[in-house]
Amino acid sequence: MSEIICQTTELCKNYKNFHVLQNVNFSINRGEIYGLVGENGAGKSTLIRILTGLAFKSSGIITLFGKTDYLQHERTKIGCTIEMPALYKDMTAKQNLEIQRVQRGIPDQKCISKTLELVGLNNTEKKKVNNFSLGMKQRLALAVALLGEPEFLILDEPVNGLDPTGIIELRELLKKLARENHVTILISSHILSELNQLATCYGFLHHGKLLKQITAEELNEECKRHIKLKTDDTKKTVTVLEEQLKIKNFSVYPDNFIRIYEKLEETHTISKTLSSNGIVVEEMSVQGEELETYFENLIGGCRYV
Amino acid sequence: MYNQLKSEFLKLKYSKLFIAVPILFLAGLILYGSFSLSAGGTQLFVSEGDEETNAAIQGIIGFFAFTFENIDTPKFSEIMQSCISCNVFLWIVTLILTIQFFCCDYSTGTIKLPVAYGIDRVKVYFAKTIVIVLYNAVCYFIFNTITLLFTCLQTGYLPDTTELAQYLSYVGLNFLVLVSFILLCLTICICLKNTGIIATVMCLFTLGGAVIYTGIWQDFHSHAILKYLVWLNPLYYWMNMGTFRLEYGLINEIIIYFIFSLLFLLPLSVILVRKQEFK
Repeated sequence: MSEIICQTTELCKNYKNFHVLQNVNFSINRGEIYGLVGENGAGKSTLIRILTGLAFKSSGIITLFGKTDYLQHERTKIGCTIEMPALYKDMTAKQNLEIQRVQRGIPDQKCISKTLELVGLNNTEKKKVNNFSLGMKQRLALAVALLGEPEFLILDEPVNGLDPTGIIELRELLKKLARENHVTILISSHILSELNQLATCYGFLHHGKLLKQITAEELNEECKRHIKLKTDDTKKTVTVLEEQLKIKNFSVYPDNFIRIYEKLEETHTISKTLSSNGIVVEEMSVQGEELETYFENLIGGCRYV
Repeated sequence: MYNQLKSEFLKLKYSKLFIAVPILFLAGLILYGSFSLSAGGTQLFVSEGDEETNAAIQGIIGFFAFTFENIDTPKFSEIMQSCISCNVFLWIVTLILTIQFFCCDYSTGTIKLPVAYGIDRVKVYFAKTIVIVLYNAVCYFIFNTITLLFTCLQTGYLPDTTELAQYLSYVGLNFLVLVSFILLCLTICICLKNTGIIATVMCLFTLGGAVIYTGIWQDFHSHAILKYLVWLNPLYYWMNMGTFRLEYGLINEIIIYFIFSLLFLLPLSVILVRKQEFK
């Protein structure tokens, strides 16, 4: 069984009568890249702020690295970027990292140049952060998060301001960290197509509630275009599909729904063949969507994401 | 804690304040020097009282720089008075340093980093406070040494060891007030966080208190509410020290003010820091 790095149980956060988070239950295993999806105001940043100790929970349990108490100590294994890059603007990249290194008590001085090289900022020399582009600031914020080789990375909108090359580099870097160093990553992003290429697990947050937690495989399965079919006799339907319609690529789900992944344009033929075999088709539709559409449908309508 | 102190010192070292504060102190010194050169030995402002009947300073409260009964035979008390008066510039510089340095992390969002990385927020607060107090202390004592040297050179007075010790005790007492003022500023900083608003509030409080005090000082104890407002004001202590009113129990008041800051403002700040959420 995988080690759970971060878990919340019935986590709630209220501001007076406003419920920002309501009974949020989710867990992240070691080495996973967890994509946190939600529209503006869904509670993503609040959730991240509570996990990092910047805000206090109203109720519920937070577990970090298997511990529910003294989380302050567990947070020393975390690296994070929260919303806008938090940097000293009248200092250089190196000075920013030097302050963070000293503050966190990281003895290895070479880690600064290594981290700067890792995020592609090793040539900034005496340039002040004030003169950095937003993309460069994002990279430096990531470097701050990566300093000291954290076990758990929490990244809030890390691709904001990055150019396409930067986005690809960041994606590959995060994948590499998860794959080779088993770094666990919690990433929130509005760019769902970007998350789609990175996350191994998703949590969909809406109005402070975690609507669904799903693995990338499960999501791909859900998003894959297919014919969703329900009949009054599943066994007989399977036989007809295989023997008469020569359909091999389908799966049967416990709720007796059948998903057919081929001959998507031949719904009429399938329906006709099933009927001629005395099978009553109770439900039949073509489904499957992009992550954006999936999320829109999940929250019950098109929203700005 | 050592790591926090070191990182806070690095922040100060890498920031513009590290240079700006000595420059401001230097500007204060130049201004102080200009009093003696331009006014021929007598300067007086922010004062209230019957000047005519007080050729000396018995009936006057406020700022005295280069005020001598006889410029040819200056007394050390007058030199001290002149030097302590010159500390008026320090309140502003201290205010700027304290607000800018403390609130910098709030305005850039970097205050979130140590908290998110599991560093005790109270340690961060104490590290900031210690660095602010230490840097102020260094600048303050250098400033006061230079003003004394400058005034002695100008007047041709050579103080003895006892006089120097007396001067040091006055400067030390004033420093206790300065530390209390820093703690007061920091408490306000934690509550308000916005540098502009804090600066306005503190300037109004400090200068307003000074103006009120100059207005009511002669029957100070009869003003129940204003009296307490003035007691909280650092300029009340500085103004009294500048005119040698220590005999009226000022030393006790300074010590009470300092202890009040340590026992009330410091714990209050710690409570506020612990309860604070970061957006």
